[in-house]
Amino acid sequence: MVASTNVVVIGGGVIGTSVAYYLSKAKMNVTLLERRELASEATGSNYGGLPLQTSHSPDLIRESARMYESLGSELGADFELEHTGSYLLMDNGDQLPMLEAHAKEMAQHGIQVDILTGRELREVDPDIAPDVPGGSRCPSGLIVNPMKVAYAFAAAAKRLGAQVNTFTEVEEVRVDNGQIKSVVSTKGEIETKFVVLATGAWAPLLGNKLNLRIPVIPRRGQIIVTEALPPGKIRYMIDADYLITSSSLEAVKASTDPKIRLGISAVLTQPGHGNWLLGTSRDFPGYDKSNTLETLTLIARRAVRFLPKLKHVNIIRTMSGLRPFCESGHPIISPVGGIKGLVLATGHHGEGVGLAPVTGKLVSEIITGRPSMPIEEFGYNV
Amino acid sequence: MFDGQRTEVGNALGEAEKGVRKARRIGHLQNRGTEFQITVDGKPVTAFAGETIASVLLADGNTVIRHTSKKDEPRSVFCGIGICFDCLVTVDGVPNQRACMIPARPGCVVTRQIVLPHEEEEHRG
Amino acid sequence: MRETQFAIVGGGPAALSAAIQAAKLGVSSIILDENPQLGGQIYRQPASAFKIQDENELGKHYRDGKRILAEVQEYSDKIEVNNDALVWGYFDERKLTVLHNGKSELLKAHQLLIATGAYDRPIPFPGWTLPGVFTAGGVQVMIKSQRLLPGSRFLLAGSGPLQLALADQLLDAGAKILAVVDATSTMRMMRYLPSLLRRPGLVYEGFSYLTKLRRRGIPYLRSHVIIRASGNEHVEQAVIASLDENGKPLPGSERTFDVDAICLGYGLVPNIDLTKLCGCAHEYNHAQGGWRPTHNEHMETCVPGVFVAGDGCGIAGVHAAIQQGKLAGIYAASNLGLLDIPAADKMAKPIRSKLSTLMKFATALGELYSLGNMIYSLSNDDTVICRCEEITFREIREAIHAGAVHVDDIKRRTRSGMGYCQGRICGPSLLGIAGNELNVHTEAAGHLKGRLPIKPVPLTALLDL
Repeated sequence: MVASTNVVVIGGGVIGTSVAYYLSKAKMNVTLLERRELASEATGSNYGGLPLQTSHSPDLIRESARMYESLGSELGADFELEHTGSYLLMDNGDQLPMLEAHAKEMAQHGIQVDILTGRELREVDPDIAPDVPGGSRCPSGLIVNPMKVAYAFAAAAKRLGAQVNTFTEVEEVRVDNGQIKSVVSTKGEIETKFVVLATGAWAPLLGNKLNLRIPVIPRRGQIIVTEALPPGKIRYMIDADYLITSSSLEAVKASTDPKIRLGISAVLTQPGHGNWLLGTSRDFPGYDKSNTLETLTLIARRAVRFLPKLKHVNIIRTMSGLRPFCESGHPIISPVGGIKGLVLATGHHGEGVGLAPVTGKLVSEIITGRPSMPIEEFGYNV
Repeated sequence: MFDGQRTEVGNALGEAEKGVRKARRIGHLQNRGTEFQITVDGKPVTAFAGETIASVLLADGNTVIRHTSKKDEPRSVFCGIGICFDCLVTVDGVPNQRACMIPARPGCVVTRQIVLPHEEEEHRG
Repeated sequence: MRETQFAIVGGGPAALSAAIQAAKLGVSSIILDENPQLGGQIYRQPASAFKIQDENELGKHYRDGKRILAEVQEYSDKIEVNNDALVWGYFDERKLTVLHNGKSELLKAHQLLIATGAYDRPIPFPGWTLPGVFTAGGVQVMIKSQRLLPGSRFLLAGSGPLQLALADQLLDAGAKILAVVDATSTMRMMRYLPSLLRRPGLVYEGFSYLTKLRRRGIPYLRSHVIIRASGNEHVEQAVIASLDENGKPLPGSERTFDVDAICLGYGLVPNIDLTKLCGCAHEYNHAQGGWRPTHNEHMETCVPGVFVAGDGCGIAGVHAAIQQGKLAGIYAASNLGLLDIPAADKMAKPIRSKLSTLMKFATALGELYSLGNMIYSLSNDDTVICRCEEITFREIREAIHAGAVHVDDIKRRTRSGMGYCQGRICGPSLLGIAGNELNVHTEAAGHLKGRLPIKPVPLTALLDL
């Protein structure tokens, strides 16, 4: 491991590897430190979806999706990008006003969303449950293999001179007189001017050591993976309930309805290899990543509600990951007042894969120059 | 139906010629359970109660059980105890069943996955 | 939700002896066996619809198995047997999800024994996926339980004494055996002979098998491995080669045999899927088959109330499995309050003494016959390592050289282990290949993370709970 560098990036998920790449591209010397293996946390346990139409940061996601189109050739890698579009499916007709309002809002951000009737949906895909009254289609929605995205960023960063160290845990970030001085890890100390904290749900742990209150909480998501099936006509379906992100987390936690308490709403994707990924759930178990029977059962029920053909399909594995949930509902992509050289890139919740390219670019701009997009919304406020 | 080799009784010391690939049933056939028919790829095949579909397929002279979906390579039984998932066949319309774990039952319909079910649909048009 | 004092997962000698021992102490248990009949592998019985004319045809293990099964029957008021019962999930505090005859059930166990045995170590080499290439264990099951001979001209390749027993069974069934090859050297064999003579009966049995082969003119070649299987749609030829002192095939030593069946008998690997899921600690023990769950003298793992016994906690053979099962039964009964620890220890003492001798022998046998990582270098670039997803040796090596050092990372990068068999077949190979590529100890690459379901189950297994 090198003794000194320009930037230490802590965290080897899709955000950290993207940051390492864009910084290397900007001619900075970068060392990435990951305590286990690349893509071993949230990046390795999600379905790699960019629905676009459900994004909390639509301007950012639009730019990021645009970057994805040329990223494959730029990185010289295939991360299985598929233009599946994304389809919101209504559970009942009462949800139509909500969908229409949402579609209008997305349109204002340049994300086209079309409302479809139930008949139109089933014309596209007859496998959709007959009582689904309609939904909305976002033609620009897409899916990628999230792990391959991270590997591609890391490999490209390495080709540009970055050091990538796995199984290296950061013990301390040393600050002197309000300026980043070095990072102490299990493999030695590195002098550095900049540190980017991209450790997702684990950001608060290092934050605490720096006396920073990083408002990120682990939020678990579980996924059921089925055996490979012949390709469906619609391969990215989202339960309209997904739009209902609660304003009051306390109300959610206290709810007696397990579907609400565990944040169950169907997100079903079928990437090219044919396996269906059935999600999703949203609960707050601390750092416990185990799969739970109640959640898996509710995910299964919700999946079959929209796609009855899944009923007798075989489950071949399950996954679970911890998203970095940020109370503001937005990621934190920001320098930190009071600690010169520290940049936070965390709190992406369910949009880490989607926002990885634009996050990497913005962090690189924050460090080397000026951000090319407004980032006040993503600021860290002490 | 049976040819002379398969009704051979007792422990014949292998008189297999080069190139003969047939699996065969050992011992007196009447020591097996009741005889019945199952359908394999549309043809009637003899089976005995207590036999797995894999045994029936192998004893009937089938050397290939399926072709893989990616490289179109031939596979048959490998582990024989239900853990390798190589011996997959379609049984009574349900694809990807382990032939070595499923008992043959009178009248069951077995299709080998040499062409994948959905490709078949496309071919039929 | 069903409840039981003692849930026993498995149907082989460890599971059965535990159930009997526990029953003797007043414990009610449920045996959950995935197979339609009890017996596991070594005590596998002929299909129940078959009639047995001559028991002697079926061998010693059949008779021993029958005896222990009869004893299980004697305690039928205490031992409930569930066949066609797949335990696919474990949730906090010994809650098991079971698929029983297609029906989904939840079972709470106060004490749990995981005795899920082992499976044949898969060793990849060019052509190993061809129809006609079987595991030794698979062929034994076909002969014993299905009374089926899966070919006519056999080559046996592997390492260890099970091959000789299989050769004997094949000859009795009328097969022609072209050769039996064992990767172990005579020199190594001689070094371990003194330890093996603790069980003179077994050594004698081994020699009598060898004599039989010799009398029939069947070559038995030590320090040889199979390096290739070839054929069009089915195996037609097997190529063997001798090994140099480093365990590498010697160029120029190849011999070809015309075959239609190849049996690979490279020892056994413990089934640790359920123990991983329960959160048990595991350690790597090469002589005992690789990764195994750790346990104390009570056969209890680090998870309270979860016991292990049999080959599933380390390859040690049927007699060790029986003694371990008895220990698990005793201490499960003790945990349930049916006898105190001093009484349990007293009962366990002679069993432990027997077990200690058996384990010494098993360890020596394991050390003698376990192969170094060189056995994983027989593949060429196009050899399929992950049979389910058809991932090649080249892809695995590329992933390792791109930075993957842990098998989970190789899995993420290549999809190896993401198919139906859930990494059982390719898992041991990934370890060995990583060890070779990175020049590290095999265990450095870890083991695949335990995930449920431990075997594929339909979505209805969740929907119908």
